[in-house]
Amino acid sequence: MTGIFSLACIVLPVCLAGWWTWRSDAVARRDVLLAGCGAVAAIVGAGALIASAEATDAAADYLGLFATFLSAFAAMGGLVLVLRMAGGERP
Amino acid sequence: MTGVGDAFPWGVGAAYLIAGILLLLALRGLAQRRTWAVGSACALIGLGLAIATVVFTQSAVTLAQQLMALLLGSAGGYVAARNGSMPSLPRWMAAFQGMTGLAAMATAVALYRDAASLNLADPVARIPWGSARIGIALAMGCGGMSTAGAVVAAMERTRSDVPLTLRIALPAAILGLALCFQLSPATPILWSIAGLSIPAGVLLLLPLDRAMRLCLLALSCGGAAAALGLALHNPAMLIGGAATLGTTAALALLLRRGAAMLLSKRGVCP
Repeated sequence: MTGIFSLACIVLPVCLAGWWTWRSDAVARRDVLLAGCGAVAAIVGAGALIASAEATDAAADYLGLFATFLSAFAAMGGLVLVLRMAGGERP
Repeated sequence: MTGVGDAFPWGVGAAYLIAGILLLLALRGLAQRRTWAVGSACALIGLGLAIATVVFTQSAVTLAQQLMALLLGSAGGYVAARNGSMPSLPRWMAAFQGMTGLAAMATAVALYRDAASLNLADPVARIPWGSARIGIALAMGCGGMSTAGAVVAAMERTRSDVPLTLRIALPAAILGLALCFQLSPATPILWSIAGLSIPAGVLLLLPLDRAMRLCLLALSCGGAAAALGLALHNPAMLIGGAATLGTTAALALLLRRGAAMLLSKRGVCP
């Protein structure tokens, strides 16, 4: 990725997502926070998969697999919580 | 890349970019109650596309182990979240974010050990934007803060006597060390970042209420995801992490204004 592309990939999403959240429904903000929790875990999991696959030594490979396990746990947990909330369950 | 990705490198790049844009659009959909279904669909398709692209670009040798880790992790997360009681939802959220932070730290260390494939010694990596070094350092810092912060977020009590200077100085020191790591990627610097990020996460979150703690945890996890995207030059991770940063920063500002009933009553925090 070039420098300008990387910068655009950071600045534009921060501004757009911040603006949409600022103008969001009060009730919908809960869903945004929960979905963000699960989505970030899945994103980190994708990174862990890449790190594990490209590892040249065994320790890095196992660390990547450990990170994959943890992030899959968190991503699935976040998704199930979102679905339980969508189904009408309240804290 | 050792699989399909070698044959279609442009296709892999395009798939990651589309996944990142879908993740961004998902937040727009989720932000309004009437477009919630569209937002959820965008999120699921975007995440599915990103993970499928990762899986299909790996070699068959590592794929079995990775699928096993994915399946075991998903099954554990499903059972834990399915059986957990809803009143303890904030604690579950904090726990999941702590795990994400720990995963980001482990990934950063794995990437650092695999320095050759990331060209850490390449002078081009000195360019601040698009550098692997600063991405690894920031992922380590943000991941450590999330992991330590998750423990604090699960606690009921707050402490208001944490000095403001300390709360500013520790994150500033982490940022300074990340810049040092950008110039010279030495192992002690990376471990110093990890060591400082633990007290930084605790001291930053200790004086805050629970809703604000969850927001800052999500902010820190988003930072870790974006930093890993920077390290791996992966647009889907970069856009997804940056979008979470923007969202949680806006939520934190709304909480400070007191304008939103954000996480109370019908929300996350009872």
